Amino acid sequence: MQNWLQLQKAWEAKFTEVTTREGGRPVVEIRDALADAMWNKVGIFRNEDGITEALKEIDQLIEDYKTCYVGDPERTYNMAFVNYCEIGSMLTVAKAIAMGALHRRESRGAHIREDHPKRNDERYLKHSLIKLGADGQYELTERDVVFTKYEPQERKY
Amino acid sequence: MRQITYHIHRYQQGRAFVQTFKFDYEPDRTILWGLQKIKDTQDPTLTFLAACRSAVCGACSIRVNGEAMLGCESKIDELTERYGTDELTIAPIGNFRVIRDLVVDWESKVDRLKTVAPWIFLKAEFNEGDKIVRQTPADFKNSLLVQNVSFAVAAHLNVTN
Repeated sequence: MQNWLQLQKAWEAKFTEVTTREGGRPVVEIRDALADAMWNKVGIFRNEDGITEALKEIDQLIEDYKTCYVGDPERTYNMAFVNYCEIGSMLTVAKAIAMGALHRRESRGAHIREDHPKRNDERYLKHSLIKLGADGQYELTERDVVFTKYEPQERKY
Repeated sequence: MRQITYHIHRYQQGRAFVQTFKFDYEPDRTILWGLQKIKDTQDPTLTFLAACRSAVCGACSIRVNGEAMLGCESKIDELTERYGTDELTIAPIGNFRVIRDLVVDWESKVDRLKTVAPWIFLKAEFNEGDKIVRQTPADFKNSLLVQNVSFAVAAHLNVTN
């Protein structure tokens, strides 16, 4: 119960701080910039240069997000604040996607690296795990794939 | 540059008012696109709902010049042509309590659906005691179709009334 109250208080404080900001980069601008970066550089066809650029842009957006402008302080049905929260989650996921895409120097399924067109089971038959630390640092690790009934194999047409 | 004008019926903190917004015309855009454009570039407090953006979910139901429609489905081009003006009046759908701007309280729709009874009634001959009703897969598929259509009609009645 105490935990709930603390969470509620934390959200109240966050809501008030975020929605009463007078300036900053508008949330919609961050949304559009993120969409552009992900669509153009971290789509199905990717390469090291593109993903690296996108990661830089995402890092900048994560910085901008900390002081961004929401512009609606009302408590009733505040969709601007909902959008703000959604964009925050999207930034986190986008960064994880880009990190995983950069790490995996091979092509596998819908992840097609133009600079590494072949699949490489020896090196990358692994799960990529991204951990977000309390300090805001993203950490990438790998975990072995556990095979059960079916051995994975390359799809050939 | 051609401009589109929305006169939007707003409701904020117990206060109802009509606010006028103008934005640059773009061909082939929807009413919902216009609302989003206003929220993005002019007034982040303008509140409306949209979810699927493909005429399935009904979240963006609104009234344009008094006519209930889906914001994501209705084209600005078609409406300005039909009404012969670039000024459109946007209001929340009727018969529901307005929460804020174009957002209404949908809770009462379940009760209203019950009054429309959009389901299939068993004939008495199939409904006696432990008599088993046999249904082929084809029958089942057919009845699903009927159910879906009924539901859509009921929802539509709700919106248009």
